[in-house]
Amino acid sequence: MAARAPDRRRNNPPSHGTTPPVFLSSSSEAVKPKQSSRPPNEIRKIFLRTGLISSVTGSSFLEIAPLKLSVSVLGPRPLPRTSSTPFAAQAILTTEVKFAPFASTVRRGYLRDSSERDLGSRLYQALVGAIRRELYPKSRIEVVVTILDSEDEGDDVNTVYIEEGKTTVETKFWDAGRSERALGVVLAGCITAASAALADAGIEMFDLVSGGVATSFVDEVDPKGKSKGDAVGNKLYVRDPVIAPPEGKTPLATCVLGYMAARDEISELWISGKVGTKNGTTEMDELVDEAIAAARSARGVLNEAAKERVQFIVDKTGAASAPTKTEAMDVEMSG
Amino acid sequence: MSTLPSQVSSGNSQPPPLTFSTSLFRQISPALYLQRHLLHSPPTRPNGRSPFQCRDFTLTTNSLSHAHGSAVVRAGDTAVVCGIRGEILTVAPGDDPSRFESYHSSPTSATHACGSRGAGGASWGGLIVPNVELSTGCSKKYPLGPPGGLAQTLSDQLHELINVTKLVSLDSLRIYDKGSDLDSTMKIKGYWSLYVDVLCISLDGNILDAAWYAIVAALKSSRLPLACWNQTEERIFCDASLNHPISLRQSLPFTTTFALIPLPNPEGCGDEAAVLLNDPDSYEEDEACEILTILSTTDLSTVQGHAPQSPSGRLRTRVEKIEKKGGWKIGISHIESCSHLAASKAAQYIQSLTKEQLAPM
Repeated sequence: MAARAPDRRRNNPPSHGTTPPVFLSSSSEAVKPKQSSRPPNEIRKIFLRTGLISSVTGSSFLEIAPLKLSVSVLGPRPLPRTSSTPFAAQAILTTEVKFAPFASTVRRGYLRDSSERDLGSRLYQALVGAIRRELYPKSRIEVVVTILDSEDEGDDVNTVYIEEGKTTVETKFWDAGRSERALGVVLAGCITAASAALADAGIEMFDLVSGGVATSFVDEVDPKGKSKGDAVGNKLYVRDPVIAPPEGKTPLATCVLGYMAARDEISELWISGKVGTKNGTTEMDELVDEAIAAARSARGVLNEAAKERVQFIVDKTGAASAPTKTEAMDVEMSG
Repeated sequence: MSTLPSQVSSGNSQPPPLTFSTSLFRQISPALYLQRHLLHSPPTRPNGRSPFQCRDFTLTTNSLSHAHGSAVVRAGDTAVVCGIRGEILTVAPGDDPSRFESYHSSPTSATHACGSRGAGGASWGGLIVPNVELSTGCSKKYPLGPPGGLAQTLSDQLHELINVTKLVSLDSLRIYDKGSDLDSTMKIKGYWSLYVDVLCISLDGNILDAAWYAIVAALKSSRLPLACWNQTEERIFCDASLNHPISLRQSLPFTTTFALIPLPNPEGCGDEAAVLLNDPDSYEEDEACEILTILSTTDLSTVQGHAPQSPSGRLRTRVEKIEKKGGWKIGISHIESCSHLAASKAAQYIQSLTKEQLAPM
């Protein structure tokens, strides 16, 4: 960081550069990750509210345990009239995902990094098919997601374990799918919240898209004793997984998808990890079905949020049409 | 404004009356719309408030899991989130640590004051690094992308406010070498550097007050892990189980912003009339010709010790900074009456802050 030139548009840290705090702990008291008590086929509680930002067309706020994100939809608004702007018969959709600097364990920079751009493009894929873009020619729709808080690796990243006065800087063994699971939960939240915000903006869509995540786990095996057979048998599918794997399990693969429940269509699919091909595609099918089930559960929340908003608007316009006290107090505005 | 060609329909024999709906009027002539409201008696703003009434605000602290301290402030339709992250600055062996410790005389600040930034170079900052992010889709008017003029101005204003008020006592950010028996300055091995990031979630005017309040509340609720120098490893380690608060100055300062809206002269004679609005929203800010910001403190002990319901006139208050942008209409009498309002606002701020601190986590 320190070697780079300071940012002209922002306040900069001291020229020496700063480092994130490093924690010291003895390995004996390593904290065990909390195990969730919820059954594997149940997703966490979702808080979703739309229309909180008055100065944009549509907005939503979503909270799933530690994940907190805010989405605002700008537009549809006309494309700038410059000679370089190409003609667009369909609306141009742009999606931006940005983590707040304080949203994860490692402090994020102000510029979007590659993982944020990747999330943005996946969100684009999930939404672009659902919007009736041909109804908004020569215009653009911007979806901006700000992630305020998220679940990631935790403080293990910066922990040094000390034994008998001799320090061992130990990069903890991260199971392979850890960051995929973390990003998957974030992406699924982004998809659900973004389509709620698009609906709030009154943009025509074929269907609401909801996000779902599922991870498959197998029993942990000794590194030496390779038990081949039962790895296929004892598979545990967890919908909406947390970072810490269940006791004694290792993750195999994670599937994230954007799903339109009314049309039974998948608009975005992202599987990472090991999906066996021994039984044909059944393993993948099972994983995708689990993710779809998670997306269906999220869809219920999405429907409720949309319904709530419609009710609110109906109530408001109904109240406005009747002569109320506030209207009577309004100043005469002729001329 | 009296003729809109599309309004005159050819089919009707009588032209439609030249009146507009309220919402249309609001959009096509904001200045007139605002003035008509304010000339009404009693003067009422389009948002239903009286000129000196401010919006209700809510404060939530420490709701984020990865920040060392955080605050969410919502005032009307303006919502900001402030998160504090501490990182460690290790002092190099030959370095004089005291240069980090002053708000003004340090070389970095000196170059700042000399305007090295104006000459084309950006400067490195001090231990506290405030930044405001507005490109979060918080408003239709604010473009996405790198920070624009408003975000840069705000970041700099907040930086200056932190420096001028000496909000954080910098010696509380020291990290010592506990084991050695050198004199106190030599024992300093590093400092906590605080990244103060303010994200605007929703923007509807008067962002400065909300951002400043969020910063103060977040700093007040911050807990930094205990850090000290490890001699064997020759680096700084933290203890996750122990933490300490950041020590702030005794009486906390708060800002209150007013906007001055010019009113048309009744008969073209006499003094030009104008009205001051407390806590303007963005619609009013756009029409304002002067912005007045007052930074004032209210004695913490008075509010805490005695009855919180004591009349605002009896609070011990002090104005620390007055900033006025544009125009010449705001006179001494205006500033005086505004500073009373600012004092009672500061008292409100501090009451909700102490209530939030006392509330169980």
